[in-house]
Amino acid sequence: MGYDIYYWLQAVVNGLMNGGVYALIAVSMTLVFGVLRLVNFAHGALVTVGMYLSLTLFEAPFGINPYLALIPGLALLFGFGWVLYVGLLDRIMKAPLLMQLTFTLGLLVVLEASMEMIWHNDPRRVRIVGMASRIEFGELYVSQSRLIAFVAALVLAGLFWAMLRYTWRGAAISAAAQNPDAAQLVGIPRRSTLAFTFAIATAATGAAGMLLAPFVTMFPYVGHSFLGAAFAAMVIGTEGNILGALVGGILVGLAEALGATWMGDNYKDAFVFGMVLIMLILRPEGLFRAKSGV
Amino acid sequence: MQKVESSSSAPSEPGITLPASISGKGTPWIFLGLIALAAILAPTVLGRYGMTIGITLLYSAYLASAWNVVAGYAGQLSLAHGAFFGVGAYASVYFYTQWGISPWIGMVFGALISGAIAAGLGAVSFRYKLTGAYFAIATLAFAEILRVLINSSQYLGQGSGLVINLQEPGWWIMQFNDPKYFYFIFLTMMIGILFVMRWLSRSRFGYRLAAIRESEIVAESLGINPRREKLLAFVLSAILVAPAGSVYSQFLLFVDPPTFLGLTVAVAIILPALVGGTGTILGPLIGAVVLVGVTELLSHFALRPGISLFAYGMILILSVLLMPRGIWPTLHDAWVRRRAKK
Repeated sequence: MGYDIYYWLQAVVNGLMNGGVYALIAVSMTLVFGVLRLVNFAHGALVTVGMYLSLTLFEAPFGINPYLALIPGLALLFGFGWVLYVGLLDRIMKAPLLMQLTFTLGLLVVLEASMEMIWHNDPRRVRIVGMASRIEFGELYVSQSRLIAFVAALVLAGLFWAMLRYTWRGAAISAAAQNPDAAQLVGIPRRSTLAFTFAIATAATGAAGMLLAPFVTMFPYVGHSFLGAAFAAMVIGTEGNILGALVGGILVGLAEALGATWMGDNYKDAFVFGMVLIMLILRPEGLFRAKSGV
Repeated sequence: MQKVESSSSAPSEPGITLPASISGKGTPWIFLGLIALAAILAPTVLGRYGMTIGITLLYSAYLASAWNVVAGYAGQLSLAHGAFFGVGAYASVYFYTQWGISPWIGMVFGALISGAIAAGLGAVSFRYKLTGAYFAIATLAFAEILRVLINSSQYLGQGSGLVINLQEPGWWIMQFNDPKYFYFIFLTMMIGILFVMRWLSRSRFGYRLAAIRESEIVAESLGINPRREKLLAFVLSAILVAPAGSVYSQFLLFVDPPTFLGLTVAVAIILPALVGGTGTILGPLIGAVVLVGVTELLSHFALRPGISLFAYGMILILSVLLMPRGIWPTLHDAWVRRRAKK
């Protein structure tokens, strides 16, 4: 039964690779939840924004390599997130939950519809020559673009974590997450801290999209499945816990790949959302403790 | 104006602004009667195209009203209503295409199945105290799982869905030559659900739901069992949503996952209630008038694919920013305040 084992091991490898990218998306979502106390339904659409950004930079006359494009991409996405927060989200920070959820749903619809208007509803992909090549380890293989995405996503998530842990900005964000009023009393500006948080989360989420662009076919509504994965990872990793979201993302990637191998590709979303339901019911506090700190 | 004469819907105590649902003591019967009369006579004036708009209007108002029962009155943001709507559609179409059972009977089964699913989902969610955002995420997760399962089910036609064969028109099989019959079915349903919401607005059950919506802890301390009441509201809402799916699938003569299931469908169901005003009787209907009106206007300019969806999203965002309680409560209160000044 050697074949069978490799078949499953290959699923584990694929799951790990996807899980790395989910982790980056989940880390930013959990940060938004922990600091802004906002469940952002538009988060999946931000991944799609990153994918189309990568496509646009790639297909521009000067044609930027998708991985080099991460540098201007991160800056653009950061700016986009900042504008979204200052222009829109800041107004609903004190609104009741129903209003906030409505608002982010509206944002989701607007973002996706805008992308449909700009790029149309055709499947697209960033095609880099040679990137489809595989790297083989004995019986197992991984495509080059997936491996790059995995490593880059984990590096970005690590930088994200280090920023929160070791910089003044990060300390300010943690303070705002724990007690916004007290943070304001000791001189941490509420609005710009929250704007910075949302902007950096947008940059990370969009970066995940940019990393996915070379091997995931994009269309304006592709973000829905990432939304599910991010919810699952966030709930598994305990809302607001960065390292938890990182582990959660990888677990979701593994569950999805193993589920798809077991039941067929059509069912993989069912496994992801199934994990969400089971976690909410059995262990709503997540696998990790320490709810307060980021 | 006639409306002012016949109505006494101002709050009994000036200065206290109750939600429109609670303050609505008197009903402007003459005004509503005129609208109903106009709606009944509309098919004689409007052509086929006008009828299609009328159907869209009534059916989105109906769906939003049904969602309003659990979200507006009980304050539980369900994102599973896309799934309940789809269950109603799939049940009646499957029963008809497979066994030749009349869609009217299939509709009843669809509503029962939908209610049973809601009972299961609700019992688990409320048992484990999933409120607020957690309830929204749980219902979203459930709806997506159901979509995946139906999308992969061979019996239900997988991604391409089921098609109803065109036959000799007749009431028993719910197929008609003229869309006006569907218009009348939806009109009847809409009037029916207005009475359901009227009952909710003034019954003890409705008051219990409002108490839970405002504060579950306070409601519980007053002897209300939130778990039981929320579950009842959720099941009632799911039972109400499903028949609209059955009738709409007969109108389209097919059922498939993109049209009847998923997050986009759920958002479309929710929207009119949010724009018009949740927790009110007329809010969903008014929201539907605004939304269908805007979409129709935009469709005449035929700009780009996605533009009407874009407008939908913008209306959603703007209504939260400008009229966070919805159009109807905002207008209603402004009118009451003006009357109180005089």
